Amino acid sequence: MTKEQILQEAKALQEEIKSHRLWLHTHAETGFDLTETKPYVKSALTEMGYAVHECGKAGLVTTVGKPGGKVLLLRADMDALPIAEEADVDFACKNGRMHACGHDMHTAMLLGAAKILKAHESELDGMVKLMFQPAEEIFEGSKDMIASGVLENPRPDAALMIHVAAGMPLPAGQWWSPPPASAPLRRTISPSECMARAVTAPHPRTALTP
Amino acid sequence: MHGKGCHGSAPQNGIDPLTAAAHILIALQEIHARELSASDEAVLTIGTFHAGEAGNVIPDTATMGGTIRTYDEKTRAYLKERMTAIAQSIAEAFRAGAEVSFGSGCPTLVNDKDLSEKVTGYLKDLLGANRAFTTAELSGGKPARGGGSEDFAYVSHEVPSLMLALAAGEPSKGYPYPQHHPKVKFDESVLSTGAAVFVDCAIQYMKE
Repeated sequence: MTKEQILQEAKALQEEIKSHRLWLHTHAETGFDLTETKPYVKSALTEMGYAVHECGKAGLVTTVGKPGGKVLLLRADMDALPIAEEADVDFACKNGRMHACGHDMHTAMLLGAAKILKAHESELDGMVKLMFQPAEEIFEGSKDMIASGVLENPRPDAALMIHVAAGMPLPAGQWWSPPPASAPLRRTISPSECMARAVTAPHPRTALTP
Repeated sequence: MHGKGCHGSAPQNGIDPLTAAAHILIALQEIHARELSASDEAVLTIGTFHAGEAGNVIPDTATMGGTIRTYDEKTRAYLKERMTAIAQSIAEAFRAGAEVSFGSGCPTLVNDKDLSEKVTGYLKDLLGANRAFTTAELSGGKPARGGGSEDFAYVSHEVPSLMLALAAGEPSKGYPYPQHHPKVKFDESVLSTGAAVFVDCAIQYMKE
């Protein structure tokens, strides 16, 4: 596939990806309790022709391509936050939970990619492993899927994820990743020794705490 | 904070966990102001503070919850040690008791240097040089570190990994709120490009 083809096929899927996002957004679920979300994603993948495997408490994993080459894992998270939505959109979630971290965007984008990859499966030089994980917000989902073997048979040579960012003084569609450096970069830190992640906890200077 | 509840009209009969907790909340800020050095990067936020149900009752307990973010284990250990000592000493000063506990959090996400270089190259080829940046380019050369947490960290400790960030909502275009805000909105125009990037990265990576 040429780059032009990839962009063109993805563009043709824009409405379909949006409709996945809309469904996920209006059915926001949290943690491992993805009772509607997981079946939705599973059935979308199955319709594309994937053999989807359950992995851990609420994760899904599937592959596309052929064995023998390199294996790249692409990951999307599926869980929302226990926040009541107040966004000015006509599709606000009404169940008291909210995709306020954009995981609905991540899952929808990976479903779009899955469709394109499946349609070109015979042209792939290796294997792509698709990981749809629960419980990112409580830092338990990927650990649970790793314990359940998501990184085995086949073991990925590398792994990639996308995170959307709103409220950034950057035009939509700009990408960034960390710069090359001599030491491993700590792009994102963590020890959130916490009971909850506050809206702006990592950026207190942008907030006024009461 | 453990105190001793009583009628609000007779505080001498109880131990107020709320006033002790209030002193602790203020005192915790001293760790940054007077104990950490300019080069110790850390965040300590108390995000919840709960106690009591009635205005004329001193409650038995008060609870505070929060989050800390650091870039190294030493600073993190120091913060935890001092938070515990400050809470317990202040509680004792006011005849109350403090219990301090820390959740497990998740480790630091490590972006693989080689993968980061490769993928940045794929992105510039796919979308044009002006659509993909290194974090250093964005931050004007300042250290490239983020303060969020990402559970993908566990994967990054097993295989070379990369977290890519995609701008999806500019304040001047009607997207002023950040993630986790109840009013946050995302710009859906980025969706198809996101899918294309996943596909292109897979194809280029497998080809090499």
